[in-house]
Amino acid sequence: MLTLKIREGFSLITDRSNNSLIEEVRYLHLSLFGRYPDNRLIDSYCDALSELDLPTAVNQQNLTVEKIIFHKLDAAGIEPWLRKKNKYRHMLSIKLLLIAYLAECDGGHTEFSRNSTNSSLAFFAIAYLSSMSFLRLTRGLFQKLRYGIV
Amino acid sequence: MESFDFVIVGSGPAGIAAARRLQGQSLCMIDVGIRTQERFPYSSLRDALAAGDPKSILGSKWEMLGNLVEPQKIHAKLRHAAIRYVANGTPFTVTDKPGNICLYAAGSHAAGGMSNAWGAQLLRYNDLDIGEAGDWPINATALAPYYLDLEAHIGISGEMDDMREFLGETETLLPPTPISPAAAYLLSKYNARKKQSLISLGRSRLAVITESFRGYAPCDFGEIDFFSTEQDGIYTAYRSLNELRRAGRMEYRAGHEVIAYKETPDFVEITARSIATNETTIIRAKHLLLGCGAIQTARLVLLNNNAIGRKLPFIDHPPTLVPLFIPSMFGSSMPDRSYPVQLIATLKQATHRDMISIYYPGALLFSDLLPDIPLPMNTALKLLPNLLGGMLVAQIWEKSRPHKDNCLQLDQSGAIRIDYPRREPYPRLALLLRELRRFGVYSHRRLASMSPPGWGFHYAGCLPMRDHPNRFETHIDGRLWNRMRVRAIDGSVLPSLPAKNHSLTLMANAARIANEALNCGY
Repeated sequence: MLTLKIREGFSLITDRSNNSLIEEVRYLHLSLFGRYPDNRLIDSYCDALSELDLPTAVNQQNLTVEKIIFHKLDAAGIEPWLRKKNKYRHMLSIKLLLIAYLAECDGGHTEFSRNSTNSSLAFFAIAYLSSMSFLRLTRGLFQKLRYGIV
Repeated sequence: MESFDFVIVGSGPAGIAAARRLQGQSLCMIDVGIRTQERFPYSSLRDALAAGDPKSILGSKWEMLGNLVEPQKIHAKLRHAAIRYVANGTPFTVTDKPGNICLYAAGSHAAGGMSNAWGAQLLRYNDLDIGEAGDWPINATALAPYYLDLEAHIGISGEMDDMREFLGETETLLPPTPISPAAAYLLSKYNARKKQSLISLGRSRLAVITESFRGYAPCDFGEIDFFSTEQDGIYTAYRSLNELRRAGRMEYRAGHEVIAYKETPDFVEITARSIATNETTIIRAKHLLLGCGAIQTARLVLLNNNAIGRKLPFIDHPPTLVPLFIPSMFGSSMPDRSYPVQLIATLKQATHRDMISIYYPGALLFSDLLPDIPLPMNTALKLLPNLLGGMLVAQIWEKSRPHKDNCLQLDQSGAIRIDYPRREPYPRLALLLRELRRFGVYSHRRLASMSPPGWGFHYAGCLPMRDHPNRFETHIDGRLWNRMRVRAIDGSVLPSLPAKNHSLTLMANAARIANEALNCGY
């Protein structure tokens, strides 16, 4: 059993089994990168979550993440609708962002390459990705409303 | 009891500038003076990312993820374990509206002070800057010889280009730092069309040496500014501290914090507390120079005058940030090696000498940028490599003046509390963006964000110098209003802030005040 550290002042404890954490990181990584993570990233994810000072009072948000995984919803498409302007990020944003940081630093994710892309194709890439974003955002909003995700 | 002619408190930029002026005298510097044991093991961010070692980048306890839950919990530049030590001194809070603390921060107990984390833009003020900011009892001429001396000591890179009127004439510049293709594009477009432009644009003046200088190796531009305080070629006050210590030009008393002082007609008795043992010692000096940083110097003066609850003016310089996009550079390569500050600009308006620093975000991780892109993270990740080659960030500074509502005080427990409710949006943003469009650079007002108060790190104005100081103000020679032998030498004495970064000026002013102390005749 892995016990997440609880920040003082927050009341709710979340004990999660390693299996559910592994399932979580695998699903969220798939949503971000279209493939499953390697074991090293999974270990880093579990380690980081146990070290970080997570506000587990937002248990509803943990349930949201679980619901997204259970129903195999579009986590990346839903996340922008849950982004917060206030003091704390939503738990889904936190977890996706954590995976992004770990992936960027593991040396194996070419998505973070700093080498040049084909500049003549950059416009087309940006236009294509923007339209894909629109579709993902639309799908994310639809799923958020349909499944009552908050 | 030990006795010195001069005691300086703090080894930050102000303390070091004063110490250089007083070196060889009977001089002691009292400083907490910590350094970190953490080391960033790579000389460039690219090498670090390629190594596939997340903990070396993100920290053994994931310190770089300190903002994962609360985006504004810690300044982006102070996250890494190898940098955090820079701001782990006496804590303070900044409140931007009643009940809302927008910054939990701390003073610096680091040897070299906050210069360990500065952006290294060292800029002179001229009389137009000082006149626009207002309330200064001295003019730029009084600082001129100290600017020259410091620049010769530090080594400043830059170029005598269109920004010479804004930044000042000098003949001793080192070659400028390399710039990204996007910044080079902007500069070339500006040079082709500048006659009709309402802005001036050019290279900044940086305390970054680009060729061997006084025995120091040049910077290798590894873009590790967010991961290490120890980069070859980037000047910090710590370098001068080491020089002074090695040459035996002063006594350096590390591990001590000054907690009180008492002036008599002939000397000052300084009470210092050992950080390790909590024991106090008393040191006697003819002159005491307080250079702990604006906030901590103000705290010490308030405590020493039993002035709990007394409000002092407080000035910060929270900048406005705007992403800039150069579509014709989308997809172009990101430089292998670069320095964050690329260019500097100002509006050609004598009454609004705003400073626009133009940065390249290559020293940030891509993941740092994801939350600011209003798209799904997976597509944002694919967009970034296409966008970043054609992206810059403008950091806009304008003059900052004291306001009665923006103040610093100590609460009943002695904790520092800063209220900063008065902060206006940058009023000339539309004009600036319109001018940049002439050069193929695009953005939108809605993309601009204001840094919260306290995040500017250019603190000043708590003990402003005046011709005829009142309580909690200082004389032109740095003396506290009611003291002959105790002087404030740091940013606390600057009565207002022009748009420019104040680092070089507070150093020059500290050297000037040290010179006054040296020649005061008692």
